[in-house]
Amino acid sequence: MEVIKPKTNYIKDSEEIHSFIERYRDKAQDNVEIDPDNMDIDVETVSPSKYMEKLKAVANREEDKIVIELDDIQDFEDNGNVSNGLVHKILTNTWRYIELIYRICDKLMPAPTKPIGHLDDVLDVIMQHRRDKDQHRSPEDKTRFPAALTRRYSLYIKPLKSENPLAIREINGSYVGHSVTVKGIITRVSDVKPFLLVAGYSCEMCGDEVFQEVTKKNYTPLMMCPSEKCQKNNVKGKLYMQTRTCKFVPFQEVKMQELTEQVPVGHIPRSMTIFLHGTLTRSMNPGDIVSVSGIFQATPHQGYRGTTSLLTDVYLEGQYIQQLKKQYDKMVTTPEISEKIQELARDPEVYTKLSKSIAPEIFGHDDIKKALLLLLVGGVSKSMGDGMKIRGDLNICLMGDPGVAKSQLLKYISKVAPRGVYTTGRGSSGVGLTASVTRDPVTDEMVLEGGALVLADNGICCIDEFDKMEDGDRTAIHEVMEQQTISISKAGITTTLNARTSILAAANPLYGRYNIKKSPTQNINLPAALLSRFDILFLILDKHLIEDDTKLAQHVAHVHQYGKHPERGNDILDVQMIRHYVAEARAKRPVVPSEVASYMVSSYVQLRQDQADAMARKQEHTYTSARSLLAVIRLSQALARVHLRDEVMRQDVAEALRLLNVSKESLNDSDDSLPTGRLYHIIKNLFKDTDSLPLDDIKDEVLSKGFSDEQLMDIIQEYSVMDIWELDETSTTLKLLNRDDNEDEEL
Amino acid sequence: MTSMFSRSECIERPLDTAKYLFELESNSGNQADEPVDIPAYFRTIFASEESVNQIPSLNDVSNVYDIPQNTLIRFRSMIQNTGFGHEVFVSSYEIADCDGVKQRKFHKYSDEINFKDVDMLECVNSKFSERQLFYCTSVPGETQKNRFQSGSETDIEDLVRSTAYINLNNEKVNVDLKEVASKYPFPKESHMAAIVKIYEKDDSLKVTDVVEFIGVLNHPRVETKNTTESRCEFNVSCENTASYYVPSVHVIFYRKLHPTGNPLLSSDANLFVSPSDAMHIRSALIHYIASAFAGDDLVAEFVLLQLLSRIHFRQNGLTLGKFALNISNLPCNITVNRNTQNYNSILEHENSFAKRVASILASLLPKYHDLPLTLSTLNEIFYFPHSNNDLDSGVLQVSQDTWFLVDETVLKEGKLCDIGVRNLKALNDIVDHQKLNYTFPFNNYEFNTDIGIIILSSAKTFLSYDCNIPLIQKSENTAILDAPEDMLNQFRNYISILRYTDFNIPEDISDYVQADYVAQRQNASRNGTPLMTQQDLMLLLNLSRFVCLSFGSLKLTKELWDYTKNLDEARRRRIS
Repeated sequence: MEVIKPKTNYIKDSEEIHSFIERYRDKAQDNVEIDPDNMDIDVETVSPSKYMEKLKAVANREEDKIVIELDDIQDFEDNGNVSNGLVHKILTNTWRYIELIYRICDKLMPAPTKPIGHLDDVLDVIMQHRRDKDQHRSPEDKTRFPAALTRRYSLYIKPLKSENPLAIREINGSYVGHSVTVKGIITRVSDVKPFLLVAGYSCEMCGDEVFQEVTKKNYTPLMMCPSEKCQKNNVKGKLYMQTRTCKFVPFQEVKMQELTEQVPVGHIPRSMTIFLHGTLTRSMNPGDIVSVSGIFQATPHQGYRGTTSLLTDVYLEGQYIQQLKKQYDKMVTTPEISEKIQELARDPEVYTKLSKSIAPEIFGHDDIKKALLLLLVGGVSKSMGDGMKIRGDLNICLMGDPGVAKSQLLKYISKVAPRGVYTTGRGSSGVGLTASVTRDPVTDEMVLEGGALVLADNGICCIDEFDKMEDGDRTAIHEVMEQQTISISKAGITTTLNARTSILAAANPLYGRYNIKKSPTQNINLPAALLSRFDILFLILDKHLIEDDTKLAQHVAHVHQYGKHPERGNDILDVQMIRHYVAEARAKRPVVPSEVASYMVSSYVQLRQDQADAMARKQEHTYTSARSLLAVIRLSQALARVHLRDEVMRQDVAEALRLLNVSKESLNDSDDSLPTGRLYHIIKNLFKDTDSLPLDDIKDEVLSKGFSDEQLMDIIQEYSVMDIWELDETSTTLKLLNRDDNEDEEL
Repeated sequence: MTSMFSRSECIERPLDTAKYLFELESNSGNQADEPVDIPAYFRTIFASEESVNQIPSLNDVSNVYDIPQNTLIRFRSMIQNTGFGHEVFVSSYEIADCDGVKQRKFHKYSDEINFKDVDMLECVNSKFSERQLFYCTSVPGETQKNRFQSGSETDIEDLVRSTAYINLNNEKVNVDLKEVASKYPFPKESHMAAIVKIYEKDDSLKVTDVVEFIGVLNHPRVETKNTTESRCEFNVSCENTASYYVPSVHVIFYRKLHPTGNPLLSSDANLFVSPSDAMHIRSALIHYIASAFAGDDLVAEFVLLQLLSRIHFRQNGLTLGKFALNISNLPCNITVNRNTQNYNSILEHENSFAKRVASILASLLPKYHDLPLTLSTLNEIFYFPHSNNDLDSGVLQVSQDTWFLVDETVLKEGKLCDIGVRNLKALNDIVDHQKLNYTFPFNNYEFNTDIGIIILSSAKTFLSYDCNIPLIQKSENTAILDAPEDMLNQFRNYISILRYTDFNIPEDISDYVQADYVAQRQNASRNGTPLMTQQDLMLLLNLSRFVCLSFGSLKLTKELWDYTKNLDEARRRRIS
């Protein structure tokens, strides 16, 4: 099929570009123009065009590159100065138009306003000589210096701002010759090498200088002198290449690979070669995430010598490089996602909804999941003027029996968090966790390597088997948890690394399983200094409760039965959505209004009071200190963030206090370790509003809590003797005696 | 479309057929509005299984030069790398002879251009197209078909059967060849590899898929490579070396193969094993497997259940159906002595017990490989695919439904280096999540796998596992039961069909299971014995699935649930 191409009128286009460069002024300059004081002065002299300014800078050897912004041409075009479609033409036939613009710039290049001084490059002096020589040549003389040789700038095209970066796999043959923008990660860069732009030769016979422009990667050197003199004399003057008269530009090859999110599942990432010339070299390093605009080019396949094939190699001729955020956890939100986030934020149930979506495969543990959500969101970090920093990151410790899905929770969190690191206390030494100094095998230089905690900077570090960690290593964590830095001093290197990380730790009780005969403190077996650094400490015990067991069995059976999670509530948000939401929430910096602050203070005072009471009863397992107040603040800030609010509200504080309470309860629960004690509490709770209850009711309740008939009868017997209650003659109703006594005891 | 070409013509000169079809069209003036469907034409010619079998297979030859250039071939292979991207090529070009008579020439399915045409080429009228490039290797671990046994002292040029004949005095070539060999999961094993060029865009082809490609063979380009040409140490635009040493296949059409390799399952036929047959085969099979485990029927039964396991559900990090079995209490008698100097890095069992188990597994499974965990193999061989410039394979980059018998009994105390630690992590990832990380510079890509893992160890293994059972040797007889071929076939069909049979848990049984769980916990709580955990319940439900399948039952029944529980109880008794 014959492709009918509209004849491109290059002459017209170059005239238009000419006028663009000569006349284009951007917005900032326009403002100067409308300045009433300057109205009478000729505008041209006051504000020369944006690009003429640049040309002037180049002529004065202050600048060596010109970046033509397509947005400017678009602007120029929109104002009706040139015919439409110029930008489009440039985008689809970039190489040709760059050549055009080069020629126009050469033509428009003003004379330098500064004379060449001794400070200038010797090259500039030679250039000046050459320009002079060119001017003195007769017009018939065709042996002018190639433009590329006398040019001392490079020209780059900056793409439209509206252009969306593509993935490497989206670029196909139809883009050849077009200007495209590609996003990816740089995996390799070559050394910067000189690239021959213009080869210079001198003839051994006539001494003439001959130049050859090189446009391809391969070229055939000239052998025969083409000068008039040699031709006249009919000698075949042999040419010798003169490195000093050649023009080289720096050249670098870079390999870019697709980003994780651009690769479809089950595929291997693709990569692409990018060629960089001139000033663009050395602008990228391996590991950078960049979007590179350039001309997608194809050259005939250069296999090993002697291959005849019709294949082509493709590469990107780099034109403009934009370094993207180094932390690529920086989320790119699409309009749909941000809309969904807003919709979620309006939902009053967002807090429960999000927390339910955390580790949906793990059943139950609702409050722990809530706390983990707050951990992801985090409180607000502040740094005071005097250099003091207040930590905003939350630290949580999960303690409990083996097989209660602690590790799964940790792993899930480490996956959801943009910079989550999962490690086990046993598996990593203190050095592995903090930082180490190693010798690079290649360069033999000392290298400082960050450990898990440094890697999790601005993220979450999940440490499993916290209790199995060496004591010495744990002390390293003290610093991280409060000061959020790691100091190391090793092999002559002393430094402090940032480790602004939240710690999520999981520990098994001292005896492997929680020993109900021992006190919580004995079971936990972590130093108080460390424990107090955790904002919340949860104790998860594997307890037999018919209700929960049934729910769990239903859940597991359902998954196996239907191959999917049972529908719970509305919907479970996927990991990506949670990440986006958390990223959005973390952008908020909620403040604590004064009335909420006073509420907080009064609750804190109350907490201290409670603790004093508990101490008196020798029942304290947690420590309420100033750190607890900070914990309340952090938790309530995180809660406000979850609701995308800018202010902490009373209800946030209440919820934070509730979570703290629950976590304490989880410790105290186990305290009534003897079954009789627990039973007594359960039964007593039943008697809240009444003095007598049918025995069957009590039995149902007690059995559902995991006790047996015998235990119930035992306790009734036992307490009857103590005159606390009595069973009526028919053994059907239990009646409470001395109710007042009881209440006194509770107070 | 009538068959203008005989089948043998299509095999011997596929390009002529394609060109004829192309010219037929362009002469008729139908200007590429609707290009001739060449794949469809070939499909009709090779519609039957028997006709496809007439096409010479790359898998069957020991040297790629045994098949002439530009012949139609088939290649049953695993896709190792899809990262090559597209290749832009000239799909048709125009030549003008000295009289100015123009002629359009077809140039698909080929890399070469007719030398006579080069001078007359009218570049402007060339038409460009793209094709996708994949790197494919023969299916790793295939047990049944045409495995070329590699000696332990194989020279590097024998390893990659597909490489061209090269003068090996050149050291650099040797290095290059090693690079080619590293793209196969198992180092030092003979295999066939090819660059496969696909002309239709198809994103459904994924890494580790098993596909049969039918296309035109192009020999390796290596003879034209000037070996004296110095290759710079780092040259990013340099095409990867492998493509010079392996042949390329210009695919005309292809078909995905069923992961079990059982051709019966590729067909649409509704296959099932009747419960009575299943019962019969089951006991025979357990007996057969037990012969490798010194007559331990319980272990044999668990092995059978393992062989029936398959990942059937995966969502949000939950993977159902995975079942890594650890058989502990194994005797360690390393009787196999190899005298070759570098036997250590060969993945072959040394423990004679493991060898026996391996031979049983290999006789039953379509794809199986040994994996002895010695320090040297752990430290020297990559288990996971990794990339520097281009993707090198690792032991665990195998297609779905491949089994490994991991032998931990040969592991000795010693130092594990970086590769070793990462290898163990990769192995544990497979056991825990059936996921394998391919490492690239600066980021990793996770791929789902379905690899069967059976771990043999002296004590409980240090790897992750789903289920542990200690072996109790019953007999001293070490001879493996001799099963006739037709019986083995029956076993193989039984396993491959039942694995892919649909299974469900009826509502009432589900309730029964739940009540059972609650009751058990209640009892345990009363008696002060350890409580049954969520993991235990998951394991039991998984086991019950495999048990039901092994009996040919498509749904869970009370009896089978109780049977499963008793089976697991018997296993637990051995542990305590």
